[in-house]
Amino acid sequence: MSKIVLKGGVIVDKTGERHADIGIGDDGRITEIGEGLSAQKTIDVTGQIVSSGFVDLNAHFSQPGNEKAETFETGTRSAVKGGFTAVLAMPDTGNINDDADTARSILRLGETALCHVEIAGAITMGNQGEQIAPLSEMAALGVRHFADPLIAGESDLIIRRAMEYSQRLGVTLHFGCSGGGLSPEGQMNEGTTSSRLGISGIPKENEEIEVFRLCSLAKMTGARVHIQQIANPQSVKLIAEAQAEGAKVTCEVSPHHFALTEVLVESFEARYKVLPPLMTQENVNEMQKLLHEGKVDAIATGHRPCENHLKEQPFQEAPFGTIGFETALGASITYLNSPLSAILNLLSWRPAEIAGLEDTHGGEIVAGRPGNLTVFDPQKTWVVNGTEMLSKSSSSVFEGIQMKGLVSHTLVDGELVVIDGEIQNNESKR
Amino acid sequence: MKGKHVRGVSDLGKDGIQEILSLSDHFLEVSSRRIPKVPALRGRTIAWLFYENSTRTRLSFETAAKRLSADSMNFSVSSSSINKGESLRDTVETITAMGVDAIVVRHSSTGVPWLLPKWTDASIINAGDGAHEHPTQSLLDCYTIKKQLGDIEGKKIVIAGDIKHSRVARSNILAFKAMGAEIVLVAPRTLLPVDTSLWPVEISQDLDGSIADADVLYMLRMQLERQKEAFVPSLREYTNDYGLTLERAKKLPKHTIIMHPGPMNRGVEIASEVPELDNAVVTNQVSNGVIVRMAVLYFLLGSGAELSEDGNSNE
Repeated sequence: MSKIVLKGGVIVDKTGERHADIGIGDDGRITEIGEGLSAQKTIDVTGQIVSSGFVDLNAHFSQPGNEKAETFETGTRSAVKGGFTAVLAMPDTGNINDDADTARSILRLGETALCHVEIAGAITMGNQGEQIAPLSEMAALGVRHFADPLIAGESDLIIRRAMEYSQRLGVTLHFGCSGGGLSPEGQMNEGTTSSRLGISGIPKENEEIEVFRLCSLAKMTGARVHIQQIANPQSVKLIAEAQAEGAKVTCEVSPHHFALTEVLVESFEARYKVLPPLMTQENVNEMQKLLHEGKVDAIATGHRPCENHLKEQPFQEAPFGTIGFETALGASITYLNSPLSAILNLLSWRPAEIAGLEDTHGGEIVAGRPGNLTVFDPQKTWVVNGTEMLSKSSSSVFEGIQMKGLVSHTLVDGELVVIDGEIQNNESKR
Repeated sequence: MKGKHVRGVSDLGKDGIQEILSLSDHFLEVSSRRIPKVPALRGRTIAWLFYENSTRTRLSFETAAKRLSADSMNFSVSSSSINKGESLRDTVETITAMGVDAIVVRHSSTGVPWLLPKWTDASIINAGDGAHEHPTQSLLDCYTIKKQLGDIEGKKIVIAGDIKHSRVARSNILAFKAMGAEIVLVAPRTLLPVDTSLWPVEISQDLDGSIADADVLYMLRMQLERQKEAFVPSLREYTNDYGLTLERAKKLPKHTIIMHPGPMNRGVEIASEVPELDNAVVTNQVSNGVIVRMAVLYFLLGSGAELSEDGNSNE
């Protein structure tokens, strides 16, 4: 007999859609799928969708080093509430994860998390772009991802070397493209609004140029490259071309870049200060279209919590960043006119593959697989209120916006970590 | 018509600008008295919250407040908790707790005057926010043009220089346009905002062509750092192409007035001799600044009754 049964839901996975109950066993794996299952604990999920848990390829936890902003514990409480069962922790917002000792301590901190945590090491020492970090030493600890979330000023040569050197390790290199040679002091998208407000802008061509050279170098070296937080549709087209020519390049888009526009900056509220910046309506429309057409691999939150008081500062003094876990599903359903399977492909199936977690996350829901599952009501409407979110930061770029689609239950390795939107305070299991 | 704040030109609109310009006429008369002081704002408290160094704007506001008998408190960068790392919110809440009717704020970040009402009930007056707005400068510029040329409507105003980084330009474009002027912006492409289509203005890169029939030539300050930041190859080249040299000034139509918001970089955007010419009205702008700022403070904090009574009692 199963330990838990999710009863009455609609299972949506890579193979399609079906009405069935799901049983989870004591080992945390799916034991059976079928009609009329029973167990010690039954969760009624009638009328809701049951999918594989979401996988976030781009999350920042600030720990160790900047625990005031977030910890693995607080950040992953927010992640599981948003339906994520695995997250990839970026190396740059706490102590830079650029050596084996730091990697070891972050792996240990990952055990305080409520969901699976993959960690990414820095590609260069201190993210300075000058000397390659000890990729091999970190890879020996199980680090399979290396990231430079704010590529800026790294020479073509050092990126080439990192791509070449990392090949034998079988790892993926992640690059953010918003650090800007074209506008080192840019604060928002360059265009009509920045001109009117007198705020220095970041031209969208900045991202295109970075994406172009990353694609060229990926083609040249054969490295596996993942490009983070694309905000300019033109970059997606460049990546698609490179993919067609055989480059192992994938990319992600964050919800606010297909949902919100730069006009919000006219409020001067620093919650709208994000990197890459909010773009124009035209860009947002085009990005929705590209997501709809399947040209983008993943939706990633870019969850970058900032202490609330820092986000109360004047726009030009406040740090970049927004929280993102709990709004990812709602924003995707609300703003993308795509079938649920396409949205789940972007939030779970494809990112699980890119993260190298396809054996435990994403994919098909079948007996024997670990119980990493998310249950949500795609019709439920709710209004975003940052202070109710579980991250230490309550600064959300989606504040006050009504969304459709809300997670009700999340299971990590067969444990119910979220029931009816509430975190279950049994000991962190990982 | 009376609003609560003067944060940007849009807080006033054409009617508000006109009201302040006509109030200014009254304060011009007050300022010409032997004792240029009225008790119109007695008992009112104004806080100066200057996060950026400022001498002229602050002195101008302080003088205006004194002539209206307002009390003031100073929270400026060099003399307060601001440089001890106190947050904007805490500073504003502190000032508010002490009791204040208006806060005059200058800040290097765009939008600060619009954030303040979250933390205070006081009226907010923008003394310059980033490269965004400087509405009292536009009001004094409108007043100066009106006094010199009789009207603003239909006049051709050429604004030349670093538009991109200029809050004076942004406010002036809005104010001059509201008052019916025709505006030409003259600057190299590097010193213009990327998108100027949002303003109903003409853009030119040819100063000589643009000023031939101008009624007002408004020169902007050229920051010396712009050369290092590669906006222009050299200040010498900038002066040749976009500076108001003595030669250019002499070629201007006789009625054309020359304006500058100060502080001037003599020898860069304006030749050393030009401010001394008869048609240069730079010092008029400064004295009008006090008068217009009296009008702004009175517009937000005073009541019509006080003004007429006090006016009588002082005669």
